[in-house]
Amino acid sequence: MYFKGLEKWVNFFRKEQRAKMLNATDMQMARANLPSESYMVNLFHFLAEAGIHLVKTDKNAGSLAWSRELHHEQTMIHLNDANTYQRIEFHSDGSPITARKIFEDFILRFDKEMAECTKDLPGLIIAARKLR
Amino acid sequence: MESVTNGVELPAPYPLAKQHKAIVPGKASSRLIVAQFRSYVRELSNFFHMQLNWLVNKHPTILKNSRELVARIEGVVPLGQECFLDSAEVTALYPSMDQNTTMDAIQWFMDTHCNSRFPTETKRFILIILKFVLTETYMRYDGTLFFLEQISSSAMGVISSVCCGNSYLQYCERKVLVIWKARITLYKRFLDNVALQWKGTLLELV
Repeated sequence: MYFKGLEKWVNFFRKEQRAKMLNATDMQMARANLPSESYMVNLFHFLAEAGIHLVKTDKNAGSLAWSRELHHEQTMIHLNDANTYQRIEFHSDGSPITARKIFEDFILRFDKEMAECTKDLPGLIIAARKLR
Repeated sequence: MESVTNGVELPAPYPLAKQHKAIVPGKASSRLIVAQFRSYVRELSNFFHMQLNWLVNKHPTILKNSRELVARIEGVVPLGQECFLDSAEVTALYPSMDQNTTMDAIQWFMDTHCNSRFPTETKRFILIILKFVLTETYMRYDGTLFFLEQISSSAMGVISSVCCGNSYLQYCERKVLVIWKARITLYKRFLDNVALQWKGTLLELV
């Protein structure tokens, strides 16, 4: 074997990850200035101790532990990026924006595109109907 | 609210913490997720994912888990031969994915890696579905009164983004991997994390 210890490496990795998850949960709670004895911390500690990796601190627990203000601030930082997100107030016909109209516009374009690309192809026609 | 949404729900964006980044007021230390379960393009995205993701995952560069990486490394390193192990990460993969290039990548993947599985009409159908998924990311954040549209890249929180991200990178890698074929003894990627085994000089690698 070229690298010694490779067989054990996966187990080392798991132990290390578990320790990181516990540590990271505490760090996030401290950063968010939330009480360290909250239900959420206990829950994530319990899951981390149990080796449940579905709840990773770097993916979920951190932001779940954030305060409402921090959530809002972080969300708005992203949404204010005009290169990625565009605020829309009106439809192309000048009417105020509504979710219903966005959806209806989509359905119109979807039906038109599907009618063109599924012409005389029963399999695709069925697929388009199911996806609508 | 009802008069504005009128029964149609749009996804609500929310941030996910980046553990490795400290929270600095006014700076992003999170990713913005656009939860897809409320989106009207959910079924389109699911369809695209179901059609292509398993095929994209069969590509030899795709790494399924860390155990597979360990097995691969053990298998490819000849005894006594010197080589370098390196790892890399693609910075901001999803936000960097140009929508037109993503479409090109999927077209390329279907043309070159699907063994004629998809007739021309089906490829076109899949690409149209993908175009809707990429361009129909509307959202409404509860703390604001305005609607937003994502006008670039692929949204995080959309299931088809994973398949698109993998295929996008395969499309970008295709020429580089051929040029350095003689030096690369292992190249595996778990979405944006790369594991590389290099049988050349350090100077060539950096």
